[in-house]
Amino acid sequence: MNSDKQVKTPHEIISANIQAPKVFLILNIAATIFYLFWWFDLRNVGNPLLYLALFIGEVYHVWQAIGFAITVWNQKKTRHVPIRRIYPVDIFITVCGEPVEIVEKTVRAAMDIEYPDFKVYVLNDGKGRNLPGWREINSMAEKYGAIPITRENNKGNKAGNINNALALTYAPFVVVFDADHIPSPDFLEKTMGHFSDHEVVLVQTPQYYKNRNDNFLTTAAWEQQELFFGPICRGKGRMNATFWCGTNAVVRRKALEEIGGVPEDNIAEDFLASFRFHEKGYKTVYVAEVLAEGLAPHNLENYVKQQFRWARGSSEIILRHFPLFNRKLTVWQKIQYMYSSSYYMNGFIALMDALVPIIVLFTGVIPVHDTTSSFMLYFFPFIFSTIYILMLSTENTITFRAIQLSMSSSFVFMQAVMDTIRGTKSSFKVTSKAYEAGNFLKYALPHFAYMAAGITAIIYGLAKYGFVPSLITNASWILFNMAMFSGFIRVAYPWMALYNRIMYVVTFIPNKIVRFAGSVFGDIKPRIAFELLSREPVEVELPRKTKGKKEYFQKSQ
Amino acid sequence: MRETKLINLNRFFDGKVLWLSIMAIALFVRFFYLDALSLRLDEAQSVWQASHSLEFIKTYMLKNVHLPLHNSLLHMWLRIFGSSEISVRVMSAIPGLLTVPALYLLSKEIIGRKRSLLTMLFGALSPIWVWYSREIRMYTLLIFITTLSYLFFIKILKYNRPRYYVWYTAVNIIGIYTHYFFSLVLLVQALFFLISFLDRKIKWSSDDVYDKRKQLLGLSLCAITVMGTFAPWLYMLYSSYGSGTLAPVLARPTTFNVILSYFEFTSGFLPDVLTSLAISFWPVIILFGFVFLTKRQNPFSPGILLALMGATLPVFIIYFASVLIKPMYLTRYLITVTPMYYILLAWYFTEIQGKLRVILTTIFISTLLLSLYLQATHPDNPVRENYREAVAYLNENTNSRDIIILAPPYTIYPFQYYYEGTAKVSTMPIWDKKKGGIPEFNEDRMANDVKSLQATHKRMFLLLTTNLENSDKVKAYFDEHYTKLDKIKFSKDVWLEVYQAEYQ
Repeated sequence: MNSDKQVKTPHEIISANIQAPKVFLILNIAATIFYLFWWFDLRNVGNPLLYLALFIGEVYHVWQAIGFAITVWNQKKTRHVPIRRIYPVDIFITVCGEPVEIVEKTVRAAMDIEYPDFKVYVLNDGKGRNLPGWREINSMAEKYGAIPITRENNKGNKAGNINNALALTYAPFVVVFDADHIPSPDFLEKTMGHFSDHEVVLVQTPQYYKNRNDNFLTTAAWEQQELFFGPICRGKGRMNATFWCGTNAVVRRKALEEIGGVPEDNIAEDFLASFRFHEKGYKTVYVAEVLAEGLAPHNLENYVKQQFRWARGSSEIILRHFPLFNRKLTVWQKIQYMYSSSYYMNGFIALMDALVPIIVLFTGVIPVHDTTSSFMLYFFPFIFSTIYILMLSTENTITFRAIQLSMSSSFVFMQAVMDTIRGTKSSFKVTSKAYEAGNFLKYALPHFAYMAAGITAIIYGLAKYGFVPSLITNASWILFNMAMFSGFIRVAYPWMALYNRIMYVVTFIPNKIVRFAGSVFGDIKPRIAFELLSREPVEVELPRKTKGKKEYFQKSQ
Repeated sequence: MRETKLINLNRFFDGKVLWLSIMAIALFVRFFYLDALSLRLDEAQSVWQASHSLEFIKTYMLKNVHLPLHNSLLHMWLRIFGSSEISVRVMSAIPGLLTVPALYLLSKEIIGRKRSLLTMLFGALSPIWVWYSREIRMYTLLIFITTLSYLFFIKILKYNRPRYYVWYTAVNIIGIYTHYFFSLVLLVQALFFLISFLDRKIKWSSDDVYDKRKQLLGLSLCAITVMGTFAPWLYMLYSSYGSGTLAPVLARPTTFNVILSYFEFTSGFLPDVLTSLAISFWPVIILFGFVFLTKRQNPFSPGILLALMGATLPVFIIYFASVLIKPMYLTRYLITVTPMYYILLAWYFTEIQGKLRVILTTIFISTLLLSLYLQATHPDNPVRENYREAVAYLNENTNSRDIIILAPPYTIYPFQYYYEGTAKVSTMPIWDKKKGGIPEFNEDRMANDVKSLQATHKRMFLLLTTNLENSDKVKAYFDEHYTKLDKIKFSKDVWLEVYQAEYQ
């Protein structure tokens, strides 16, 4: 409780030895159940259809809140297990078109790992896709003493790439790193000790984004990771429900062979592989220590690809593999698979919640019958205790922007779940690590559409009902959803550069006049407002089609 | 040149100038045009009680829900300064003004010096504080003493000096004789101490090394002294039990009362329409909750825990006690939560980062200013009782052939304060103060009373306070049986209805 104003480093946050007090967790669960009672009180039913929509949404939120409280109930402290026996290890670096300079750093770091018996393989999938620079990758790998493995085709995407390498290598343990995840020298020292328990088949470590401070998106994406690789994964570790996150993990080869290699029929092959491990009764371990540093998706397009892939894989688990009814899993594993997979159902729920106030304003139907004060009595303890538990369990590192970005991803999640339901085949899209800024407004179109619909509904409601309490409450909910959905809009376009360009154009002539006056009459200090107006554009890159070239603005002096 | 200007600007915002400016604002909004509004019923009652002897005040308060200290002080004040509206209200405005620097000192101990200027500004502009600073009741004294009590309590926990124990005991003795609900402040402090006693992680700073057992001993001594000082009053209360009560009959509160209380703690007393519109913005509060998740540092401290407890526990204890045991819920009785509530608000706003902090704080301060203005000027302010104009009208427009009837009877207090006319005055039901308490209301009695009052009079001027008990029944009876000549509204609930008494 002592006021602690020390800012923690990301490494400290991930490996923090924190525990939300159980008394608060119990109060949170009690408040959540108390809130659920309100929704089961059928006297509150207004329009049955809208009530049902809200009811489903709130039951989902309650499930997510209780799931989180259960997950963080007992945060397992990371225990270092010393290595008793040296096993040979094969390190796989999966590459599929990443720039050579990014892969080079990973290869070099992998070669520098301090462990007596390991080989580094660069699984280069660039040839099959005819990606530029795949030959350079192989040359670079050989230069550092790593072994390149190249396929003629891309069957099975990343999973196929790993399976192909498994067939050509032999060490009893394999480590998989994505091309941009640079391991630390003690990676194997901190992970291999856990395999002295023969039932352990997977040791997962966090995915850390070293470019977290680059922009709003990378920061928010990292803050989401902090929540997942912090309290959630530590909690999963306690329940033997840690799953493979695709990179920065060590896997026992025998277990992989037992499940027929890395599943190639699922876009989230890692998640499904973990599911198979747990079905076979194996143990998985989470080491809450940053042992590799990677890159966050740098722009909205890549972020969308990443989220889509995760959502698609997770929804396939819940909709095709039914973890809840799988007798081979323990109760805690079932809860954790359901909790993690159902997170991506949030797309439907968020949209449903967001549409209700708009429908209410357009149609005038009332979804619930109760006084505001009575509802608040049930709702406020639930929502604020949940926010407080989030703060406690993450040591106050959870941020609004991280939640904003999650909420903004609702439409992506929805698309992924719809594809799973329809059985549409999704191609594996590698998250690009190139630093590209640009126009990604197409990904924010649903968000713009919601804003337009929301504003129209408010104007319509105002014209029809006047400035009445019900209009204000529904308008406030629309505002709430707009704020949540604005995350994507913010990162979809370099707005600041656009603003600067507009200001530059608007103030071009006045600026010239002031400078001219200055040169004629000496050192005249322009007014502050004028100085602000005549600011020149900053270094943000803004795409602009000018004879096929991108135009860059110079950094202001 | 520009840098110098910026430095000066920083000094202004950091330093004494800003502090003094806030005090000047507080002074202005509390004292400016202090007699702008009429005395309310409760104020007139206080003045009436205080104009009697100290012995009467004591006896009267033993049958009431209040304690004797405030009216005894008012008694002495009246003897020195007289009973004009301004003179009596100054006695409230002084503690009202002193609470602002006291809040600053308390806030400084919890959230630091710089942020406390914002708390101080909230206190200075708080519509509800300003309202009670301009009303001769015990509430500003109660807020002032509550603020000091928390201040010395925290000083004991942080610095553990003997003089703070002495001050703490002294203010608590004053508090416990000011309002019964002050005991909730002591309860919050006791609970907080208990929690910090059991949970050793609760520390005010890294050098918080004071022996909690010694602090427990010191605070126990304070408690024994306060209870010992209050014991005579409790004994008298016990002895006089059964000799009748003047306690108001309160309705059982609903959850809306809780919401309304916090709204009034924030925005004061606004017209009902505006209040319901403002409360309708409640989903935005949820958004504010999420916006708060931006700090990435631990925003909590022991002081914030205490502030959270102080700002919520009394309200919820009284709410549940009112629902489960006996109704005792009134927003003004719970005004002791406001100092901690304003500290929490200032803490919230100063914890937000970036431009959003400036935007939200500016919006909030603008809301306070607007509320303050509407509260002072809007004719539909629900707590405004314009007896002054109503009685002035009666002074001018009635004569000895008319009769003025007041409903309910106890509105006689503000009426008497202003009345200088020649018309006969009575109440409905007829109440002879010299003979005892107000007779019980029933329809038959009303019919008889009205008949007896009607005789020999030309017109009946019915002064109704419509939000008070049975006034609706009285009005309905008159409307049914007599010809209405006129109807005038003086404030939201103060109405004058004129009926013909002759030839009916």
